[in-house]
Formats: sequence, C-alpha cells, structure tokens
Amino acid sequence: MNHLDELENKSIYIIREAYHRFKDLSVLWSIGKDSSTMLWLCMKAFFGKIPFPVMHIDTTYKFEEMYDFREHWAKKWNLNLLIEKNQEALDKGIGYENNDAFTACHELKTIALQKAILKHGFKAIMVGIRRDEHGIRAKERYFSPRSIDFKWDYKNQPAEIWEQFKKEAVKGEHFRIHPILHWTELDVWEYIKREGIPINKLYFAKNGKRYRSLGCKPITNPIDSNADDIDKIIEELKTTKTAERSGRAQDKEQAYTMQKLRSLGYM
Amino acid sequence: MEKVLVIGIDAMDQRIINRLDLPNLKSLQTRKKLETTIPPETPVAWSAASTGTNPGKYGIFDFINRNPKTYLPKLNLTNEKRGIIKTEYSCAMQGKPFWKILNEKGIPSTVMRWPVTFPAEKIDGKMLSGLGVVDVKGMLNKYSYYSSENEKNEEDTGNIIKIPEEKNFETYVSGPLIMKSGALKDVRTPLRVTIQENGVNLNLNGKEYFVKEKSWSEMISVKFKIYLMNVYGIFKVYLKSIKPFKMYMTSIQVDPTNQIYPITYPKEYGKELVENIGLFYTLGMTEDTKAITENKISYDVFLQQINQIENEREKMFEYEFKKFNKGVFAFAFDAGDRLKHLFWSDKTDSEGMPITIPEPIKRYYTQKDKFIGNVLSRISENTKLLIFSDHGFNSFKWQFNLNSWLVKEGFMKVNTREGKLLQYVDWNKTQAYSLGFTSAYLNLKGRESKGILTNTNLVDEIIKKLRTINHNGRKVFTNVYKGNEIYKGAYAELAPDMIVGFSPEYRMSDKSAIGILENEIINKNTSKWSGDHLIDRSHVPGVLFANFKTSKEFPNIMDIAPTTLKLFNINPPEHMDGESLI
Repeated sequence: MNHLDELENKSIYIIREAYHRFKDLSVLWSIGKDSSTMLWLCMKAFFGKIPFPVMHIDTTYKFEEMYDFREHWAKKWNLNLLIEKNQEALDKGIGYENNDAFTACHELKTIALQKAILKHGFKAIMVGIRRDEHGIRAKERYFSPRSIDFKWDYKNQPAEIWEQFKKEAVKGEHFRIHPILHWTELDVWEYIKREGIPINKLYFAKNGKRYRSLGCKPITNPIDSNADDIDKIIEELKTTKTAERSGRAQDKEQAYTMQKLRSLGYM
Repeated sequence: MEKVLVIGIDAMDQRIINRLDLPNLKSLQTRKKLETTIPPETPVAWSAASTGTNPGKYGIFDFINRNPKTYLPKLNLTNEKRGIIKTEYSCAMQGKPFWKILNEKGIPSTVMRWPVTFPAEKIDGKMLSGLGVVDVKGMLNKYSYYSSENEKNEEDTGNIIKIPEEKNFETYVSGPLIMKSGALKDVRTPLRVTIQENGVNLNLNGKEYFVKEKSWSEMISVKFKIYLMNVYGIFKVYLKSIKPFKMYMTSIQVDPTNQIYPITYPKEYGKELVENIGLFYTLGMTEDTKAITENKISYDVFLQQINQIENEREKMFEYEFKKFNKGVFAFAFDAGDRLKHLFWSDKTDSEGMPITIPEPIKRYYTQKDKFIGNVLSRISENTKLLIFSDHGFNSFKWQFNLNSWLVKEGFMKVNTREGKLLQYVDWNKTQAYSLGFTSAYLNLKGRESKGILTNTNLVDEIIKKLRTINHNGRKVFTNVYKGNEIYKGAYAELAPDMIVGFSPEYRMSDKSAIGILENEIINKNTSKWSGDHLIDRSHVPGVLFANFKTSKEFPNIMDIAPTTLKLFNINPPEHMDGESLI
C-alpha cells in the first residue's frame, strides 16, 4: 500500500467510526483545499453520498471565487449543505471594517459555529485541521472533546487509542473529529492530484501571486509564487521553508509583536 | 566577615547630583563619573555591571533585537515561547552575574529588582526580579481605562473600556491573553461597579472594595479562570471622577503570593515579602509612563504612583537590610529614570541639561540622599557600600528616523512607504535596515534570510555618511560604532553591524525603532517623554560612589562586578573585561 493509500485508509476509518458513534454529526466545509479533501474522503467512505449535513460557517467575508465554488460543487456533489452565519453580529455591524481582526474572527466564526451547534444539536463536528499547520495544533487528537464554549481542556483529553474510541460525549459537550490530522500540506496536494479533486483557482498563481491558504478576504494575503498548476505547487512545497499559514498567521503574530513592543515606555 | 552592599540607582546623572544639596552622597570617599556601555540602554548597562563583561558576552545590544530570518523586532529582555495558555519565559541575559560567582564560592546573595533578571533564577539567597517582569498579559505595562466618555485615541496602548452612564453597571477586568480558535483573546473577570455619593464600590470575585473619588484604591487581587487553571493578578485603580465616570487601572501584575510567572526565588519568598511589607507592585517597569503620555492620568497622579512604588521599594530594602549579615545584597532603584523621562525640562543648556532642575527630580534625589544617610548610619565597619548608576540623562527634542534616511540614501528599497515592522521592504534590493533604538544591520547573505550583501564593506560607507548629517548646524551623530570592533564574545555575532551614538537632544524615532517610515527624517519630539539617554555614551555617563577608596580616575560600569568579587578577596575570572577598582 502506498503512502497516500495509508493516509486515506486511516481517514476513512475515522470518518466511518465517527458516523457510527455520533448520529448528530456534521462536517465543516470552509471551501479550502483541506476541508474539500475531507469531503472527498467522506464521499469515498460512504460510496458517493455523505449521509450527514455539510456545514459552511459564512463570515460573509470570503472571496467571491469561494462562494461560486461552494454553489457549484454543493449541487454537483449533492450535499446537504447548511450555511450558518452569526446574523446578530452582522446586524450589529460587526466586521473587519469596524472591528479588529480578533473580534471579527471571533464573532463571525467562533460564535457563529457555537450558535449553529446549539441550533442543530450536533454532538460531533468534523474539522479538516492538520497537525503540521500550526504549532498550536501539534497537541490535537483525532477525537477531542469540547465544552459548549469550545474550551479545550488540554489536561483532560481521553487517552488516544484511536482504534477504539471508548469515551462517550459528556452532556453539554461535543466532540471535534479531525480525520486528516495526520496529513501534511504536501500529502493533501499529492492526493488532490491523484484523485482529481476540484480545487479553487485562487490556489494557482496569477501575476506572480497565489493563495496558499484561504480565509476571510481582509486578513488573507497571497504569497509570491509562480506555481500555476498542481505539479508546480507540489514542487514549490518540497522546497519552501515558510509556514503555510504565513499569509494569515502573520497578522496575529504581528499584532502581538506590535502590542508587546509598544508596551515599552520608550515607544 | 566582609559584607558588600551594592545599590544601583537607575539614571542618576552626575551633573544633576552636583547641583543639588546631597550631603550624604557627597560624604562618600569615592565620587566619580562612571563610563557606561555602548549603547547606554538600561538592559545593556545593568548586565555589564552584573557580569563585568562587554555585551558580546551576554547578548544584549539594545532594548530591541531582531530575528534575521523574519526581520521582525523583539524586546530583548526575555525570550518567550508562546503556548496555548501560558508563555514560557527565559532570561535574555546570557552572562554570569557576580552573585552567581559568589554563590559558587559559598557566599550568599540577595538580589532585588536588578534589571533583566526575569524569570527569577535559583540563587543561594533570595531574588526578586526587576525590569523584564511582565504583567499577566505578558506585556511590559498595559493599563486599563474605564470611561463613560469617548476617550479612546488611535495610538493608545492601554485597554480603553467604554462604560454606560449608569449608577450600577457591570464591566470587566481584562486579563491574560490566550489563543482561542486561532485568535488571541483576553480572559476577563466580571467587575461590578456601584456608584456611591463620594466614590464607587467595586465588586470583584465576590469581594467588595470602596474607592473614594480622586483617590487610589488599595492593592486589589483578581482571579482569572482559564480552562481548569486559575491565574492571579494584582492591581490598583485611581478614581479620577464619578460623573463622568473615569477610572484608571494599573496593569494586572503578577501576584507575588501566587505567581503565574516566577518573579521571586524561592517562590515562597514572594509570600514572605507580602507578609512583611504588604502587597507591592511587581511589574518590571512599573511606573505607568504610558498612562501619562496618553493623557489618561495627570502628572500629579503619576507622581503619587512613583511615590507609592518608591516607598514599597524602600520598605523591601529595609526588610532585607535589617537581616543582612553576610555576603552581598544588591538592590536596584529605578523610578528616578522614569521621572526624568517625563519631567526633563524644555529649557536646557547646550549640554542638554535643564537650566533649573525640575522639582520632582530634586525631591527624588533629596529623598534618596536621606535614604543613603540612613543606610550609612547603620552599616557596620566591615560593610562596603557601592552605589552606581547605569547611565546619566539628557534632553530629547528631535526624533531621527534612521529607516527613512536609509530609504532616502538608497540603502533600503521599499514597495510602499506604508506599514510597520519593515513589512514594506523589498529585501531583494535592500542593503541595510534598522530596528531598535541604536542598532542598524546589513542585509547579509547567509545571515539574513533574504540577504544580498556578501561582505560587510558597506558599513564604512554608511558610517561615513551618517557622520556628516547636520541639523540646525549641529552634527546629529557624535559617533557611529562597528559591532565587530566593539563587541567580543560568544554572542558578538548577534550584535548589530552599526551602533549609532546620537548627539544631545536627538534620539531614534520610536517609529523607526519598530520599522515604520516617516515622511521627514527628523521630527520634533512633542511627547511628554521629554528626556532620554539612548544617545552616545559620552553624553550620559553614570556615577560611582563608594565608602572606600577606588583606583582609576574614570572607571567603567564593567568594573562593578570584578570590584565586588575583589572585596571578598576573590580574583575576577579571566573572561571579565572590567577590572577591580581596589
């Protein structure tokens, strides 16, 4: 079995096991390459039709190309698509124009998801995060319990015996399930290539720039790149040294750095 | 047995001292100017004093250094590893302070408030950390300000919290920053405010505190819940007015009895101090210069705070001094530095010295002199007393933007002039850049991630040009130094390539220091921060006093450590660059 088959097998196993455990399950689709790959794996796990809802948390700040992509493929893949927003916050005018990125992100993503989970009574949410994405995710587990306010009690994680997920969800909690936790960015691209998974054109270079990771438009920056097809992206990833989310993480890191530097009296 | 008392008084300037009536200091046998470090910056100079070495051996060359891989600046007081909930800190100072050497010889040490000793390290004795100690957010200082009016300015560094015009309302105390769903958020504890006739009741964590209008509160404890962990902090508030409601809150500081980060060694020492002198301000740079420069508190309130802090420091000094029976006791006072930053007069002579010494500065030194008098009257004959300052002081009238100058001269190429942290720089075409208050770097191949220069020859050309810059008929730079000539040691390769020594009245612009360009290279300094010392060391020498005779006419700050060792009959180790003054 080759490397990609192994990754695929493990993910499909987790997806099936999750569905078996939690009937009130939903999969988050951010319309980026990772969650699209995860959807693809879900389709493979259930022979073409995903038997649970696919949820998109819409901050209303995504790229036009992302909305087009969502509409097109939701239909083609026959998804039971839920589009959820924090309408209350949007009505109050909360957004990147009026608020700092932390607040906007928190209100339009985190709170929106929180509301959606309560509204639909989901017991488990499947999320396409990967360990290599960010230092903070290094300690994540395939199955991770959360309290309703999303607090991740890092000391109280169930033992990771991933073949047999013994622990049941405690009342009020939901589980986060991470079927592609063990994939790397390069794995994802190689798999996309092998399977022919449709992918947003924003990932491909145009005028020397491409998006390596897709988020809200005001806080996502393209990177310098000439990789205008999948092969070139794979080649680029094999040689790059900068972090995948550098286009996004930088903002947070810089905001912290500025805050810290300016806390010195001499500034 | 010999006892040595080392008292550091940050920023004490001989030219100021000489003009004041300070009988006790002037009665001391040694009264000298003290040569300071290049550059004369607090963390650099105090570390030279404690290690007896040049900065190349302890790795601090400026308040701010940079990461050559990311070109991002960083405060060089601690190294931090940020986790989900808590940050792990380690000290940025890499050298070996004299108290460690004494410990190895079996001589105990008590070290209090010495800059760049955070986190507190294991010591045979006691330690309370100084400059570098962060608040519960990990900041050097971050006040909160509650107001029913719109008082938030774009540039404010504090948390400005708008509250409703009601008699009874709930707001919050802003606590530690944590990563939550990929974003940095503050953890908050609810604070209920009930307005009374002549003050307010604050209800916090189930406890009530009454604060009178135009008064300070006692030190208040606060608890934050983060997941399963409790984080404790302490703070004070000053109630400016009830109607409209205006209340200033200090940074939420590490609680010495329940330390989120180690600020004392041993940990229990924090409790011991509190039991004996009460809760005290723990922040490294406690005096809230931001709240005053951002117009949230008045000069008077700032002075009240300085007095509170200085009283606490004298109390903790007294507590240890009473018990001091062997070894070394090293103590740092640093409020005088902040005082001079804020109260330096506009009217200065050609040397940058005030024509009349501002009253608060005068009072501060008069009080310190009394304090010294008290110490002198109580020390035994075999106690050696060393008093020194890390640097002097000068006027700060003009801000010089070194990065804007590098752009103008073509050494730096930019994609746009907008932005911060040098993010606008075209690194593939840039030869030099500046970060920090005195540091400039070449964009060197193999060292910087997008370096283009293959050797350091360009340094000479840049230095030559800098030396010719004139403004109002005066030279802006007294000196510009080459890092590889003045620093030697294991950390010398981290040093800037060029270290600028400003002439009196000039300083690096605070924007340039964090990589922001300005249209004009030289701008008038309009801030209340009117005095400074981040200039050429020849203009800001420190002072040295001792109750014994010392050699050398013009000693250097690196001589403090070897002298202290020699007083215990220990020969200074080979690696020390300073020399014993006895």
